[in-house]
Amino acid sequence: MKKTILSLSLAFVLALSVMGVACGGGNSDSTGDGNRTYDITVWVGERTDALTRNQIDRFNKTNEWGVTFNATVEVVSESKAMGNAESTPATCADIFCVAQDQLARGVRTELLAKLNSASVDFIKSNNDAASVEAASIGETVRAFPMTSDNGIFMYYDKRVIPEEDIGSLEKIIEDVENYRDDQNRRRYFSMPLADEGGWYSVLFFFATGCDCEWTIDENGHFIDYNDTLNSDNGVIALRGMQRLLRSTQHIDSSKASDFNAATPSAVVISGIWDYRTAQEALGDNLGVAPLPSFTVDGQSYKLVTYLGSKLMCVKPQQDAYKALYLQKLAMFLTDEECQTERYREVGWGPSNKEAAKGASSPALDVLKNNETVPQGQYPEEWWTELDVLVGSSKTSNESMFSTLLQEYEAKLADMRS
Amino acid sequence: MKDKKQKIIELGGGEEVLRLAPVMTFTYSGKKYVACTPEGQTGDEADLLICYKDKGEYVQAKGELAEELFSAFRSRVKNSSSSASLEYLSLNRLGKIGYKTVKFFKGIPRWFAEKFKKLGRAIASFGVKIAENVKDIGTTFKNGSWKTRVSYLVMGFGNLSHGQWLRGILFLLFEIIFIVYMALWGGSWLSQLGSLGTVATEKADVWIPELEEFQEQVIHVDNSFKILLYSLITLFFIVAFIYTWRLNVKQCRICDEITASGKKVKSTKDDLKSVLDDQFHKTLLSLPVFGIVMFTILPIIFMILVAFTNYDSNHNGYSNLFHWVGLDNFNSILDFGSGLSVAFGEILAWTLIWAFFATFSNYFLGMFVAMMINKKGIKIKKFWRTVLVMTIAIPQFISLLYVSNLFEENGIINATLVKWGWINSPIPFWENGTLAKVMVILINIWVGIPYLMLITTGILMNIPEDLYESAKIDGANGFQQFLKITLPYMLFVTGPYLLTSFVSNINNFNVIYLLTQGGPQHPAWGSVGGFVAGDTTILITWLFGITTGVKADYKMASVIGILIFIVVSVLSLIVFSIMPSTKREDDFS
Repeated sequence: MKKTILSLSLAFVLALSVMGVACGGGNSDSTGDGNRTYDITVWVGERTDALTRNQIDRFNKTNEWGVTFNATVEVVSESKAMGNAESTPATCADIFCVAQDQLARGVRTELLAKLNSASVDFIKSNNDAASVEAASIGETVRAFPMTSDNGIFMYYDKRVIPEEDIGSLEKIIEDVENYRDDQNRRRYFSMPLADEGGWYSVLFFFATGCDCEWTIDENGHFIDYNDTLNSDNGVIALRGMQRLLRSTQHIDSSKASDFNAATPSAVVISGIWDYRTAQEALGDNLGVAPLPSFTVDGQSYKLVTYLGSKLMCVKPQQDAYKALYLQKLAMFLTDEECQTERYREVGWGPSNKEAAKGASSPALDVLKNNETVPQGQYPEEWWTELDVLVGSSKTSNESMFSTLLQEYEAKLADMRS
Repeated sequence: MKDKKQKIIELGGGEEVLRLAPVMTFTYSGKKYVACTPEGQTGDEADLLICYKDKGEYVQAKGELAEELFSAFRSRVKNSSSSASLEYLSLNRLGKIGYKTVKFFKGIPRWFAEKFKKLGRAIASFGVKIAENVKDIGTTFKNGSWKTRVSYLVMGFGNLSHGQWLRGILFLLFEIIFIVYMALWGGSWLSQLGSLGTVATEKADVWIPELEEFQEQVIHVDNSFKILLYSLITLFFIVAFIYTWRLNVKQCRICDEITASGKKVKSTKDDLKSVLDDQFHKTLLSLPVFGIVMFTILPIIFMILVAFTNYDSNHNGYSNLFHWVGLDNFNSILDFGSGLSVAFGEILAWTLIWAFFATFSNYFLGMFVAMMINKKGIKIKKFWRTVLVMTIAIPQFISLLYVSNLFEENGIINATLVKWGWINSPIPFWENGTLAKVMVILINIWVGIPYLMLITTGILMNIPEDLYESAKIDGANGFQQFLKITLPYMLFVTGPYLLTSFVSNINNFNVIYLLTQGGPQHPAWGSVGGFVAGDTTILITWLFGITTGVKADYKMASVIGILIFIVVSVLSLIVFSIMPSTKREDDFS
C-alpha cells in the first residue's frame, strides 16, 4: 500500500516520457517561406574536409539566391559513406561522396535525390563522358561526378625493375624474386588478388576477352547479367595470375606504404590516391607505369585498368526548396573551380573537362594516356566471389580451374536483387 | 571414506578361497570395513559382502553386525558427494571418468526438463496470480462502496473521496494522459504494428517559381522503425496503465476496509512522509528502474523483434519499409545444408573452440607463471610481476594492432626470419586459416597471462601452507600437490571467474577483429548469404560484419544475437550448476 505513491509517480514519469517521444520527430525543414538558411551535413573523403568547408563558405557568399548553408562537414570515406547512409537514412548527410560502384546501392535504397533538369544539363555538359556514364543508372543521371581518376597502375622501384621489363608481368616477378639489396633483404610485389582483390583480379579476365556486365533496372536492382568468366578465356586468365599468386614474393596488398615495410615492396599496384606516399617512400627511384601484360602459352594479354569516378550524392528532401538548393551547392562543389582546387590540394583527377586540361602528374598521366575500361556496376557480393575464385585457384591444380569457374557461375544467379 | 583401488581380497583358506574386489572402504564405530563383490561381478547389491581385518586376515561380517554394516554402507553411498552407485564404485579410475561423463550427458535432458518444469510452474503461478487478481477485482466491485465502483472508470475517485488528494490526483492525471496519448498517438502506432507501415514515401514534382524549375519533393509517410519502436513503447505504457488501474482498485478496497473498521486512512501528508522515510529506498530506485526499462529492456525487446522482420539495407524502414516475416530468418540460418547454416555451424564451432582455448590457456599458464613467481627461492619477485604487468599498461587495441603488423607477410618477424636464413619465404601467419587460428590463440595468451597472473597470485597466497606441509609428509610430489590442493582450491575460488571469462571470450571482439578482422577469407563460404566470413571469424565479429559490411542486414544480426544469447546462457547455466563453487560451498570455508 505504501508504494502506491511511488508506483504512481513512476507511471506518471513513464506517461510523460512516452508522450514526449511519441509526439516528437517534428520536421524542422524550411518550407520555402523566404527563409533561405539551412543546417546541413556533408560527408567528404579524407583530406578534403577543410577545403570543402571553405568552398561552402564561398558558395554562401557568392550564390545569387541568398541561400546560406550552415554546413557540418565530416570525413567519411567514399567506401563507407553509402553504408553509413543506409544505416541512418533519416539522419544521414544531406550531401555525401561515394565511389561509383556504390551508385546502384544508393538508388536501390532510395537515398539519392532525383536530379532536376538544370543539374543533369550541368553534369552532361561539363564532365567527361566516362564520368557521366559512371554517375548514371541506365539513361538517368543520379549523382554529380567529382573525379575521373579511379584507376590502377604500377608504382615500382627503379632500382629493382629495369625500364625494359615493366611491360611484362613475368619479368617483373622474376626481377622481384631475384633481387637482394646490400643487406641481403628481398623485395615484394604488392597486388591484391585473393584478399579483397576482386577489383584487381577481374582485369586478368577482361584482358583475355571475358565479359561481365550486369543489367540494372531504374530502381537500382541487378536484374540480369552477361558473364563469360566461365569459359576457356576465364581459364587462361586464372592461369595467367598464378605466376604472381604463387610467387613467394607476392603479397595481397595495395598500400604504397609497403615501400616502407620491414621487407619493402618493389612493386605496388595501386591508384592515384597513393601517389604522394609512394613518392615520399621512393623519391627519385619511383617509377610509374601502366599495368603490364601477362603471358600464357606464349600469347601475351594486356592488363587494362578500370577508370571510375568519385560521385557526390544529394539526399532526397521533404522541402523542395532545400532539395533544389542542395543541388545548386553540389553543382558548385563539382564545378571547374572546385575540382581544380581539389586536384591541387589532394591530387584528385578532375572529371570536369576544363579542369582536367590543367591537371597533370606522372600518376594521372598514366591513366590519361593509356587505354582504360569504364567501370560498371556490380552487386556487392560479386567482388567477394571473385576473391573466393582466385583464392581457390591458388591452392588448386590448373585442371580444376574449369570446375572453380563453374562454381563461381552457379552463384551469380543468387546475386540478382 | 575413500574408494579402494582394484586390489583383490582373498577370503577363507584352502581350496575355498573367495576372491573379492573391493568396492568401498568405510569406517564404522572406529573400525575399518571393506565392501566388496566377488571378482568379475559388478553392481548388484545382492552380491555385496562386507569384510574386515581380524588378526591380519580378512573376515566376512555376518549376522546383526552385517546388517548394521550394510545399513551404514548404504547411508554412506547415499550421502556420497559423487553420488556413487555400486556399479560406479566397482569401476577402475578410467571407468569412473567414463561413467561420470556418460552420466553428465545423460543428465542434460533431465536438467533441461527440470528447468522447463520450473518455468512451467512459474508460468502457472503467474496465471494463478492473474486469476486471483481478476477475482479480487470482481469481488471488490461487488462488495465495494459506490465510490469504489466509480473508481473503476474514473481512476483516483475513491482516493479523492477519502481525502487522499495526492494519490487521487496522480491516478486521475495518469488516466487522462493515457487516454489522450492513446487517442492521439498510441492507437495510431498500435494499429500499424501488424503491417509496420504501408506507404514509405510520396513523391511530387514541385514548381519553384524563383528558379523556374521543377524539383522533386519526397514526403516520408510511414516509418517502420518508428512504428515498431513506438508501438513497443505504447505496449509498455498499456501494461503500466493496467498495473496502475489495478492499484487504483486495490487502493479503493483498502480505503473501504479501513473506513469500515473505523480507522483513519492515510493522509497526503503521511504519503509524502513515507516516500522520504520508510519508503525512501523506493524513491531512490524509481529513476534507475525507469532508466533500465527504457534504455535496457525496451531496446533488447526491440532488437529481438527485429529478428522477425526483413529489416536490412534494402528495407531500411525509412525509404523502403520493412515487414514481419515470422520465422523465415531463423529458418534460413538453421536450414541444415544451406550455405548459411553450414557457415553458422562452423563459425559457432570455432567460436567455442576459441573461447575454450582462450580461457583455459590463459588460466593455466597465468596460474603457472604466478606459481613460478611465488615459489620460494625466486628472487626479485616484484620485478617479474612488474614486467608482466607492464603489458597491461599499453592499451590492448594498440598492442594488438602492432602485433598484427609484426606478423604480416612483409612484417618484421618474417623479415627477421628471412634475414637470419631460417626461412626462405615468408610464413603466411594471417593468410593461412589454421595458422591464423593458432596465432590468435597464442597472441591472446600473451595479452591475457598478466591478468591471470595478478588474479591467481592473490589466491595462491591464501592457500593454507599447512595443507602443503601435510601433503609433503604424506609423500605427495609437486604435481600431486598441485592436482590435489592447488587446482581444486583455485577452481573453487575462480569457478565463477572462469565461467564469465569463457562467456566474454565467446564475445571477444577485440582480439579477433584487431588481429585478423576475421580473415583470411574462407574459400567455401565466400559471401554466403551476402555476409563475408573468414577462418577466424567468431559469431560476434560475424555479427559486426553483417551490420557494417557491404550488405547491412540487421535482421540476421538480430537472429545471430539471439542465438549467441541462447548458446551463452545454456552453457552458463550448465556450467554454473556443476561448478564446485556453487555445489560445495563449505569445502574451502
